[in-house]
Order: sequence, then structure tokens, then C-alpha cells
Amino acid sequence: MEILNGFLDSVVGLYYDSGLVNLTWHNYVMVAISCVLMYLAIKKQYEPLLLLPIAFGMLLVNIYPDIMAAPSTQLVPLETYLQNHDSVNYPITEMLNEAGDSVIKYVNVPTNGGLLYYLYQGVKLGIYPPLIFLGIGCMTDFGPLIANPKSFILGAAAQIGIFITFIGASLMGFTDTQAGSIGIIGGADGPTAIYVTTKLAPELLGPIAVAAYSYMALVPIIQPPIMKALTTKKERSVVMQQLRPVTKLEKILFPIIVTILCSLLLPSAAPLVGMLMLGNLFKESGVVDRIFKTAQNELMNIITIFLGVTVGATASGEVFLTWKTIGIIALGLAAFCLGTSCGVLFGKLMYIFTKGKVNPLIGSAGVSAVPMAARVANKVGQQENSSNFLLMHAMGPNVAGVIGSAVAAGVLLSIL
Amino acid sequence: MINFITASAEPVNPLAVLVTGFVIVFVVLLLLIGIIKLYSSIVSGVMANIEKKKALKVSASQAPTAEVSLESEIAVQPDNTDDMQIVAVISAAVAAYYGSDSNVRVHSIRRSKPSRSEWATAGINENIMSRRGF
Repeated sequence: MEILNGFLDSVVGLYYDSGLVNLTWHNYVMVAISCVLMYLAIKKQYEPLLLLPIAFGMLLVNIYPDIMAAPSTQLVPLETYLQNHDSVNYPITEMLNEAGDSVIKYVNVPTNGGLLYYLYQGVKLGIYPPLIFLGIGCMTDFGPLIANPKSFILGAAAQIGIFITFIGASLMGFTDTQAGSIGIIGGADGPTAIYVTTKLAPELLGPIAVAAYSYMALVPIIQPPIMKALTTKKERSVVMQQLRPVTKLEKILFPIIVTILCSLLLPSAAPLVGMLMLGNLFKESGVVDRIFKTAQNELMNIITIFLGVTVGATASGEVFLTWKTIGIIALGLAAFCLGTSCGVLFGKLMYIFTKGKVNPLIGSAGVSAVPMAARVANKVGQQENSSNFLLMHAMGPNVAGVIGSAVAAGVLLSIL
Repeated sequence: MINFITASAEPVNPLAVLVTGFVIVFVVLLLLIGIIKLYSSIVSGVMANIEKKKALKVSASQAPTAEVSLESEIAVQPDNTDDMQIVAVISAAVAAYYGSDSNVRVHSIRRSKPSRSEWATAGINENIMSRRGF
């Protein structure tokens, strides 16, 4: 009978420890959302490399919230502690009892944090996003931008959405730092958005990261209607002149010069721009093949896993399911659309100034989201003229957009 | 090191952020355009100079033997009208690639090493032709 009672007690104890008792409806809704995101990642292949770990992190934290718990200290009465242990290795705190007539000794027993709490430190301390930028730098060819530096104008124009959205978010009642973090979604650059948010408004990291990566995945759906609405058939059919070949020396000098200039003018953009350019220098110098391969493959993949899972794990039900999240997702979409529109409109200006030599569609690629946005520009161009290849021309504004959004991030970090 | 913030954090004017952000992003990227254009022209100037010097050196060192080597080539390959046609075709293709307003000068044309042997190429060609029904 004692054995049966013991067994039942244990089962009841396990039941009370399980998620069935401790979880709220928020958590179950989040589990459902994470399953939808996993479906989108696996079946629809929307940015699966990031969406899948994010969705799984979301799932884990909502079933077992302690996986993100910070380390803490438990106060265990000394007598209870000594029943299980021979000696005390931790500091002891003395407190008066409720009546105030005797002193009770407590042992400060430290408890370790959850697994994802420790992995999350790389996000919290702003380590992962610059390392991701290092890998992106290794994979980026700045040749089209060097061949046509005017692309920088389009890369800059597409960042206006960030600052317009900042105003919108301020008007909606978000604080300045929160508004800055929401605006940066318009930069369509996941690592930049995460970097800025961890510095300015870490409490909004979950919704902002999910919004940023969702919109990046939805570039082929969001951008084309805007691009078509703002351009004429004639403008979309412009065939651009072949880009000049770029020498190796120019490609090697580019990352060094950009780093010096950006870091001098905007020191807060230095971690992002600096790592991006270091990666690119690895690639272009051609003398550090091993590091170059590691940075763009193994290192990038490892960081992507850590970043994805832990960012997903910030989206716990209580934090995520609020009206603020809906506001952030709506503002993020606005930022993204405004960025695309400004890019296309500046493309139109360039079309006018160059007397029809620039296809305005390439302006939409200024919102970073490399290389998806450039592919979309190419695809929309080919719908008008199937023999028109805009891809390399769109890559210029596209990579300029990465630098542009890092600069915009630097501006926000400096003034907010 | 601990930095003490003495003044209370004042709310930022959103419009000021818009203007500042817009202006700084544009100024930085416009500066980059200027610098890239500048160093591109410097690099292309330097490269042109280096190539000129190389060409001069080559012509100076090979001048006396040039005729001999030309003769020997002609001896090996007597039918050079074909060669001239090939040079013209390649030059035209290169010129078309760079656009009509570019100033292209072809210095030398070298046969790249074939990826497979002549026999293998001939075999593949024969196979393709037979499948086409020729």
C-alpha cells in the first residue's frame, strides 16, 4: 500500500510539474502559431533556414518556459538543506521569522538558467548579428555596386521607410527606442533589426524578429504589386547597359574604404559594417581561403541555429500575444512597403535624370533582403520583356541596401 | 567604467529623427559614391600605366626575335586567313560585350586548354549529330 501511495504521489507531483497545469492559453496559442510557422518553413519553404529554428524555439519556450529562465538563487532553510547535504558551500542569509522573535538561517542555493538562456546571451550582448554579417560579407559580391556606384542612392532611398515608420510608431504611443526598433524592420535585414532591438528595446525582440523575418520571406508577394503600381510599362521594360568589369584591386579596396568611412562617421555602425566588410575582404583578398570558407559555412550555420532558436524563444505567450505585437507587425509591413516605394520612386527619378537608361524596378532591391529583392526586381522586369536581365543591376542597390540599413541602424543607435 | 547620465533623457522629436536619419544616410552613401568613383579612376589609371609598361618591356625584349617567331608560326600553320577571321570574330564579340561606346583593344588571343581531348570532342560531336538525324 505504501508503495502504491508513493507511486501515486510521484505521479501527482509529475502532473503538477508538467505543462498541463502550468501553461496558460497564451502558450497554447503560441504553440499553434509555431506549428503554422513550421508548416510555412517546411512546406512553403519561406526562409526555412531561419524560420524553422525560430518556430521551434517558440514551440520549446511555450511548452517549457524554464528553458529561457535566468539563473536564480533559492533560499532553502538551513535545516532542510542539511538533511540532504553534509556541509554548506553557499552563503547563508539570516532572517527574522514572521513573529520577529527568532532568526532563521537560509542557504542561498544557486540554480542554473535554462539552456536557451545561455545561448541567448549571444543575441542579448549583440554578438550573433555581427557574426552573421561576417558570413554575409563572405557571400556578397560588391562588384555590381562598384561598377555602378550610383546604386548607393537607391540603397539609401529605400531606408526612408525606417524613419517614416519611426514617426508612425511614435504617434501610436511606442517609446522612442521602441519606435526605432520597429522602424528598422523596414531595413528588411534580420541581423540589423535584431542588433538594433537588443540595444534599444530588448523587450520587443520576439515580435520584431518574427515580423522582420516574415516580411523578408514574403518579399516576392509584398513587393511586385507596389513596383507595378508605381511604374509604367515603358519604365519596366527598360533594358540597362552591361556593367563594366571590376578589377580585383577595386574589390579589395572597397571593404577597407567603406569600413574606414562608415566607422569614422558613424562609430555605432562599426560592428555591423565592420564585420560585413571583414567577411568581404576575406573573400576578395583570396589569401585566407580556409577562414573564408569557415566564416561563410560552418560559423554562419552555427550562429544561425543559435540565433534562430533563441530569438524564437523570446516569443513566449505572455509577451507575444499583446496588442503591441499586432501594432508592430502592422508597422513593420508599413515600413517595408514604404522602403520599397521610396526605392522605386528614386529609381524613377534616376530614370528621368539618365533619360531612360535606368530601370526603376531595381530601386525596389534597395531594401536589402539579399538576394531575394534583386531576384524579384529581375522577375518583374522579365514579365514585361522576357529577354531583360536586371539581376546584376539590381544586385547593386541590393548590397547597397545592406550597407544603407547598417548606417541607418547606426543613426538610430546614436540619436536614441 | 561607469558612465553617469546627468541630464534626464528628453523625448526626441520624431520629425527631427526623420530628417537626421535621411540626411546622414544619404550623406554617408553619397560620400561612398564619390570615393568609389575616385578610387576606381585611380585604379584604372594605375592599371593602364602598368600594362603600358609591361607592353613596352615585352616589345623591347622581343623585338629582334619577333619576325623569326612569326615566320615559324606561319610555317607551322600556313593558312592564316582563317586565323584573321577568328581574330575578327572574337574582337567583335568582345566589343559587343562591352557596348558600342567602349574603346576595346585586343592585344592577344590565346587558345584555352580544352577540357577534353580532341578525340573525345570529336566523338561527342559525332554522337550529337547522329541523334539530330544528320
